[in-house]
Amino acid sequence: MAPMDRCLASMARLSLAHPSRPTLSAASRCLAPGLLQTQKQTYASVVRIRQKAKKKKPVPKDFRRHRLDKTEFPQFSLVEAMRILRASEVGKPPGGVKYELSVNLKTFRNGPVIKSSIRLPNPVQSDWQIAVICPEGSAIANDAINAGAKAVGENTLFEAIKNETIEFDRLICHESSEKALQQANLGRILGPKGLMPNKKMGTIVTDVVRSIRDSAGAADYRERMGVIRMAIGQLGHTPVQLKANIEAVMKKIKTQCAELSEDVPKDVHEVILSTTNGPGLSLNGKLKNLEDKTVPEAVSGQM
Amino acid sequence: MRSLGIRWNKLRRRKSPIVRDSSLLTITQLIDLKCGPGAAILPPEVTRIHMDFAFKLNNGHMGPKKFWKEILPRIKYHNPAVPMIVNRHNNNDRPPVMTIYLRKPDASPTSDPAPVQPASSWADLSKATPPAADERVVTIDMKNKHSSAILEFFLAETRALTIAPTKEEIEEIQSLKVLKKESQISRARVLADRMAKKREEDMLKRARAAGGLAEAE
Repeated sequence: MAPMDRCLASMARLSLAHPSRPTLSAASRCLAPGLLQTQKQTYASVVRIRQKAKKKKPVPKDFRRHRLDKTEFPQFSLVEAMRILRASEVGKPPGGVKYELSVNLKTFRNGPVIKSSIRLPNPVQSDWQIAVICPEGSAIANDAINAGAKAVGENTLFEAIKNETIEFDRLICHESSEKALQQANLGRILGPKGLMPNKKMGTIVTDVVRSIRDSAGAADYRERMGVIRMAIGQLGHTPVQLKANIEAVMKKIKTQCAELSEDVPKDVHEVILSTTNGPGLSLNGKLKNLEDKTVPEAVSGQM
Repeated sequence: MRSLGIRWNKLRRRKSPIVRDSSLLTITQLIDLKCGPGAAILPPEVTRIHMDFAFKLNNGHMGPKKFWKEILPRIKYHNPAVPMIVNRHNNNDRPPVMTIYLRKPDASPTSDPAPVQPASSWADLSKATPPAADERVVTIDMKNKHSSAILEFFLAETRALTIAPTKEEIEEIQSLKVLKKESQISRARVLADRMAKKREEDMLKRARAAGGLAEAE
């Protein structure tokens, strides 16, 4: 029945342009009166809800960045921010809390992202436990141990990883052991922990000693959703030390922004200092405001 | 990303809105850090403060914990240079003690170095060290005391100068109170609206279910 119905309807639409042709009602009246009745019965009792097709808002091309100067959003000098943050972290053991930095970028949603690693002037965590995958008993292994690696080897290390006794937080692989690593099938264990050595990440290397030295004080950062977040200092750092760290990071980020092509403009919009449990405070770029009474010595050293 | 207004309100507003006593709020936000119980400037004689209490609250360890959570940040904000060490452990039989180290007024600076006080610890690694030669010690037994009582003892022992909130700060507090009241009203309104909408939808659903049955017959 239904196909016929539809057929009729389409005929009626065709006939609209022609006034001399019979209209839909006329056609159905003369063709199928029974059909009409059934139609009425089915449609009368069912309440039809017309759902409007929701219009999807197009996602804006770039991340929204508000104008701070227009709203007079409060921004703090470094010393004042440190005073507030240290007060809100009072009595916490120093191992668990760090200063954190987030840099809001003015950028498109798509396009290249900024990521790199940097050696901070005053490292946040200096005692990394590093393990090196290299042929056992070789000269490379000896050098790695001398450079401060906690564990070296091939099969012994693989066994340890398979038993989930991972006592390191960085893993470096020498080039000659790359095949052995791939055959060991450790990606399932190491992958989720972010420890799997990879050429792209620079953790499969030829010069193990140099890599250990570099990664010992290095901190990785990466732009996610237009924001770069990273740990920037210990709570015991002085304002001058923290300032050196922040400046080093900002300088690197700015040069990286400048290196990108002009089609994908990227710029630093706001710098926010926080601690692990503290509030996020927008920095105004000064070490100390003129009206601040806090001296830099007061917010350094033991909590 | 949040709008700037939301971010600013979040920064200045009290953290947990559902607390009866306004003095028992977790203070991490700005106005709470500046004003309230514990906003006091310590005299320069105070060299450091040490607190020692357990993780669990049995045997009267609740007051010290609340003091640390709610009042100590304020004291720290107004006295950023004074080290404040918290040592926590699992032994509830040990009485919770606060130790205040004060410099003796007439003592000449001595050459022998003071014993080093380790940083705050949550593993009982930072017990109170004996005072240096030019220091004297005041201890406060915090067992079974309310945090406000501990604060009274503390202020009396150290002779700290309490800071009254300035005019702007009072205005800020009042504006936050107004904001809170308004938000409660609007929250109630939105809830009522949503309930009405839900009721209507339910009714419609029921009607449709009934109509559908009738049709099947």
